[in-house]
Amino acid sequence: MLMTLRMSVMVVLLTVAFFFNGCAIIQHDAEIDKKRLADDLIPAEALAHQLGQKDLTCSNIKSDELSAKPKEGAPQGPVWSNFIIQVSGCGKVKTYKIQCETKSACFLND
Amino acid sequence: MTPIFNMISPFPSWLALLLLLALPFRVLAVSQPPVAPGMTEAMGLWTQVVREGNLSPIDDSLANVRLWMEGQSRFSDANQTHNLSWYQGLLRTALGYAITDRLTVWAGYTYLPTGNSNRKIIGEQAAWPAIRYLVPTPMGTLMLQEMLELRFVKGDTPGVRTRTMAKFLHSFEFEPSLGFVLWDEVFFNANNVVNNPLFGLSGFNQNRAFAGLSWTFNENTRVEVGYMNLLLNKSRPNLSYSAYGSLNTLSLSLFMGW
Repeated sequence: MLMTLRMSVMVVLLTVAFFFNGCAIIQHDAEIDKKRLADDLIPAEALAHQLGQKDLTCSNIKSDELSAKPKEGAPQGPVWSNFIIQVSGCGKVKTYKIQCETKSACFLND
Repeated sequence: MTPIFNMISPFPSWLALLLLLALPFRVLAVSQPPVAPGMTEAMGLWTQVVREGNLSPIDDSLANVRLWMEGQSRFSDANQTHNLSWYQGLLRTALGYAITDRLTVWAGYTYLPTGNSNRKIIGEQAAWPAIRYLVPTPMGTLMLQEMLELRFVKGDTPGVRTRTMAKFLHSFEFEPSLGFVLWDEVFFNANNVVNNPLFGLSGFNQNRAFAGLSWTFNENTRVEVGYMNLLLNKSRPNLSYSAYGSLNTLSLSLFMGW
């Protein structure tokens, strides 16, 4: 009887600990994603600028971030930062989908 | 140190391993160091296809539910003719729940048919829970995975085994699609299952170490090619010494999401 009670208490405590741990991880990961998106936006915009100058044949380019969200890609690999960035200049506009794995690895998603 | 490693010792060891891939298997074979007592060596080829994704294409409410499907085919020259031949396959499937984009818990099933010397196939089945966490670092992505396998072969005691994997992926700045991959997975048996040749004694069971390159075609498709060493504990109660098998493989993996 005592053993059963002890076991039940342990299971309840473990469940509660798991629940609070899960909540902490969700919050932790949300903060990581927010920071990653902010960090990756800089090289993503730089790439969009570079592409925009070439595609719009315009040196005075302005860029706007239309969306930014994390997305898991191929299995057992990085969570990507996916951006949609609009560039405009010399009366022309173009939109790019740019993905970054880390700050140094951004490329255009055609 | 083998002679071939001595020749390229100024390089990091992972680069040395990659350079080994450029050599024909026969050259590699003659470059092997003398085997230790109780140690057997073989060459192999492992191929793997993994597909994973969430079930949102079925219904948006299933966006956090994930499906894992995997197939492997394994070849080695550890046979009487020393020719590379098929010896093992693997089918793995699992359902997962993504607690976050980075943290997923899984419940899965594996079927592992192994061909032995008299061509009879031994079919192992395993049920397992697993947890996987993807950690972004300034250098790249770190994946940590823990799996607890309950292994069954017909007519034998079930085996319990833990598998702990750490994998690191780094994309190169000069070509973001290209990266290097390092991983290691260590297996420990929690119990003795001595009647079955696939299972073994409790304690250290095997270690798999990989170094290679990855190529990312797009966010949903990546290949990984490289060298993998499998160190397998073949010790048995009836042996007076510890026995290990070392399998040097070329490993080819295709990872696809959706």
